[in-house]
Amino acid sequence: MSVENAPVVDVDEAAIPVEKKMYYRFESNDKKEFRVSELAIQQSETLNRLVEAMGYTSEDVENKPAIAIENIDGKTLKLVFQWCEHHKGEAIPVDDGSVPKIVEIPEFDAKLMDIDNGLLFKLIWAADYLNIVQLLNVSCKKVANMAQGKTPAQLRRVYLLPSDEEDEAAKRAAQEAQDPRAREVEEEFEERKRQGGNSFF
Amino acid sequence: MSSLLETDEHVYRTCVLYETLHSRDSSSYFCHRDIYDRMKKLMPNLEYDTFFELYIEYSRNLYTYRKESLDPDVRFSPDTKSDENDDRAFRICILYEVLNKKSVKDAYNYLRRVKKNVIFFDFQYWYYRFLHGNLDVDHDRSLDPKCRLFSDMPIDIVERIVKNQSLAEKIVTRKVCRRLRTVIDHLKTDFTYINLKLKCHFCEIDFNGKTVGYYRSSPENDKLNSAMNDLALVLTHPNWKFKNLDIDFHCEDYNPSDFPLPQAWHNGNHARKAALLLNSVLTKHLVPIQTLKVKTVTLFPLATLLPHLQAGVLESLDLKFSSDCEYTRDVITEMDQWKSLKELKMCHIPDEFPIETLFHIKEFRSYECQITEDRLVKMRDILFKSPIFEYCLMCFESKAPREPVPWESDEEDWDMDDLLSSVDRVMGAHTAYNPDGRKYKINVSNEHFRIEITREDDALIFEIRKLRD
Repeated sequence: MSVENAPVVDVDEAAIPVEKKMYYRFESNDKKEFRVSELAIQQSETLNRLVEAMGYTSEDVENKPAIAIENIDGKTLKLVFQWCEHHKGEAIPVDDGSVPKIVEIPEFDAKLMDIDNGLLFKLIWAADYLNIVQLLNVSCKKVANMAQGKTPAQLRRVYLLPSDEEDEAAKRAAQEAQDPRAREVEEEFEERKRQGGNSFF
Repeated sequence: MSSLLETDEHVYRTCVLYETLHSRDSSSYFCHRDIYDRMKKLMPNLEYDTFFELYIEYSRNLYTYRKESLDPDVRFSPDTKSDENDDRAFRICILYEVLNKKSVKDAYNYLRRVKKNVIFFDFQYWYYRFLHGNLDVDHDRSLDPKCRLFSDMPIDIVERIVKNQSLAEKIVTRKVCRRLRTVIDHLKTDFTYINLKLKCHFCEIDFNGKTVGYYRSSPENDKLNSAMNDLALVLTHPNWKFKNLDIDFHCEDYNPSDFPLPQAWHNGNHARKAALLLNSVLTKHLVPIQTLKVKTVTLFPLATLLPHLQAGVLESLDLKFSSDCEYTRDVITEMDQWKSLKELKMCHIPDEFPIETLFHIKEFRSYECQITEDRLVKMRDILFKSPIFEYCLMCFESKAPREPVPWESDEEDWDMDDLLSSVDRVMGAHTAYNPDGRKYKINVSNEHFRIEITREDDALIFEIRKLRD
């Protein structure tokens, strides 16, 4: 188990009340450990409820095993907690499923999200899973902005999505692969065509 | 990089090939000195003679064997078929671009100039890996945790993403694949306006603040079809609502001296073609827009478009045209869409235009309209027959009298006097007309029409207003 003992972001002690100065330990699915301040955890509704329900004391945090987050790997979790530490104490937008009309990506977030698409998509998944509304807003905005000035073909390359034709072809291929009888019929049909028969029946 | 160079000759040779390919691509054979200087910054131990020898060798044999390979061993050898080497070379080139501090976009475009089949997703993975300090070009991606793709995203997150997009981006995104199309089509969106501007060699559509240009790539492919399809999509989409449509069909104002184009690229009938295309894509649709602004040479595009707009919902029309055709004009003025207008603005009313057809509209304005006796008669006869009409304003050009000089009597405003006497004579023939204050009393109501004629510099303004007694 690799332990990252230092907090993800240095804590400004003067800014945090004494009773809030508690660091929870979390573990990613690839066994990387993180220490995150209580105030930063509040950005995540899921984690906040979890630690409230656990009711850990300062001793429990140190003595009991780290809280496992099984769906998220260490690389992604590090980004998530960096974001939470940076934005700790900020007001949390109410998530009613709607998207704010104007989402601005702050400089810190833009730098944090200067990553490849694979990791960015994982960050969105993590923000959704951990219910971090503002992180979800900015990361979705970042993906939405990728469409700016691009053609559909360019967007397919960026999102790595197949076109309708490619999708159809892949589905057909998958169906044929699953149904050997269909393939046999197809082969028989082709064979009969080669032999000069006009009708399959 | 310098340590990589010292230990791995393949890296160094690949970089030289990559730069050589670019130098040939930009048709500048003699830029090897620049390349050397650039490479020297990243590889301080690089000798000029060694570099130049390789550069010349690669330049001479550039088009042999595998054209798109970035690996010198694969490219120049008829026996080497391994793509593994080429993949490594591809990663070396990305590393080289990262070390040269190129942005992800520039680096991708630069790499694609010499290797067309680069997959952006792969490229981006390596670019950011190198950018974040992991310079191992032999890293095994299969050891990474499972990668999430856009196609794996849950539907509510995809919805969140597309909700962040502007209308123009949504139109592009829904063309990507069926799944995105379904998500976007499902979302309800309200927006304010669409502005189509047709020029003789291109057209632009401003989708609520974001402009998309449809430029001709050849005389045959003018992208007009694609522009009209996008416009029709927005106009007819059941979940997309908007109020204002502004179409500039005035595409004949092309001046060859400003922007010379080959004759084949001119299309005098661009407006006509666009109108016909719109007509075909809007068949069986009634678009519920409130205000329409049309700038056109002839009335044909308006006559084609108007039947596709929902009568009763369309309230305001702002029309500017320069050439009148009696038949088209009659067709338009007979349409329900025209008859149910509440507000009309016509920049210019031609002399032959039947002025009485405008009096079923609540308010109309025209800034270039002659007021003749014949027109006054028609106005007088229609005025009481229209219960809806409330206000009209008509301006026409009339030279203002010059400032009077002290030793002469005041110069008279002949045009103004003529108009006033014409109004009194024509309107006075009606019993309800009162020349004092130029009022028409409306029977069985506490309302009256009032005629006002005023001068503003070189223009006379004629207004009729419905007022309470």
